[in-house]
Amino acid sequence: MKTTKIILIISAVICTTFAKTEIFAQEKSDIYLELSKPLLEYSLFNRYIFDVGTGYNAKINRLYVGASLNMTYSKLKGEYNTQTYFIKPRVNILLPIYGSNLSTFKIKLGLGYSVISINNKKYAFSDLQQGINAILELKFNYITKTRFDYYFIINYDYTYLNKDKDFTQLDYYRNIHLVSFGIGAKLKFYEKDEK
Amino acid sequence: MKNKSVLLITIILVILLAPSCSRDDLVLNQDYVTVSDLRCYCRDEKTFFLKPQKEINQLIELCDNQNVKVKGHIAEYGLCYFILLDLRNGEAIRVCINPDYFCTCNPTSFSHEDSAIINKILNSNKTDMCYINGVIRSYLRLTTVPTIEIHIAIESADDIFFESDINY
Repeated sequence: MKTTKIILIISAVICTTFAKTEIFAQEKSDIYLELSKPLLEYSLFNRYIFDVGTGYNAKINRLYVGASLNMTYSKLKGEYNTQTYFIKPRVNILLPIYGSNLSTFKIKLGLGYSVISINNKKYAFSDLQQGINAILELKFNYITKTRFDYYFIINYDYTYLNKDKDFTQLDYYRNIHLVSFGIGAKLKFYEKDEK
Repeated sequence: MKNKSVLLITIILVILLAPSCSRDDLVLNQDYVTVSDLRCYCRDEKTFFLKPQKEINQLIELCDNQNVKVKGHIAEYGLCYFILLDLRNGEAIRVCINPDYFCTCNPTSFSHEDSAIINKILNSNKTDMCYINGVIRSYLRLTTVPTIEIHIAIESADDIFFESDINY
């Protein structure tokens, strides 16, 4: 508990210091944290609550290449209380398609793996499923003069589960389609930081 | 006006091209299917409202009177029925003990076989997976929003058994 508090305080101090520094140099890489809410879903689980993700991107020529880790949480309403967690590590490519001094618009393509853990304590039930995962995301980034930028995302997230007859015999349920809308913040690093 | 038409056509196309459960191949009486699989295959709820009457009838014929092996957890039970649940998403199906076609409960005609089934349920653990060999009853229920109603009919205590699996 103490460690968590210390980490939080140090993070807050670093963020505040960086945030107040005005920057005009070229962005070289970034780390980000984002939160999104699934709006549309076609899957077995049907009650997605939120998705939280973090990642790192590095600029290579015009593209940004990076890796991310997302977690989607789903909970069955009512007395049964089944909880489902999707852990989704991915590699991503971001392509800027529009940019000005105030904003940028990027397309992100990601490919990775999805591990799904389903638990119900009341019925002593648990299950683990996995499959490939891909994402197509549109990212509207608001540029500030500080270390932090804020952005909106809308994405289509697709998972294709490995075959498991006990889990489902329908191909329909092996496909998980999610369309989500969310917000995020990124901490930018510049060329001079890396020298 | 033109934009509205394009948008409308796009929406209709997206809905029509949306995946449909009943197009999958599902063998109902081979491996034990989950409650979700069965409901999806026999009702196709998400695209039901788009279907013409002919397709609805075909969907009913696809499952009605078919033998099925289905598995799930028991959520609740009464004298002549119990509810089989898919814990993963809350989908449930009614399993009727020696029913008439529409699963109407008649406690006065309660037989020795019926009580054997109920006893089997009472002696099981809540956490046990319930396996059922039954017959699907599928029919159109005409309420404000018409839907395909399905339930499973079982006749003897041999049609049901329990295992202490923790996974599907």
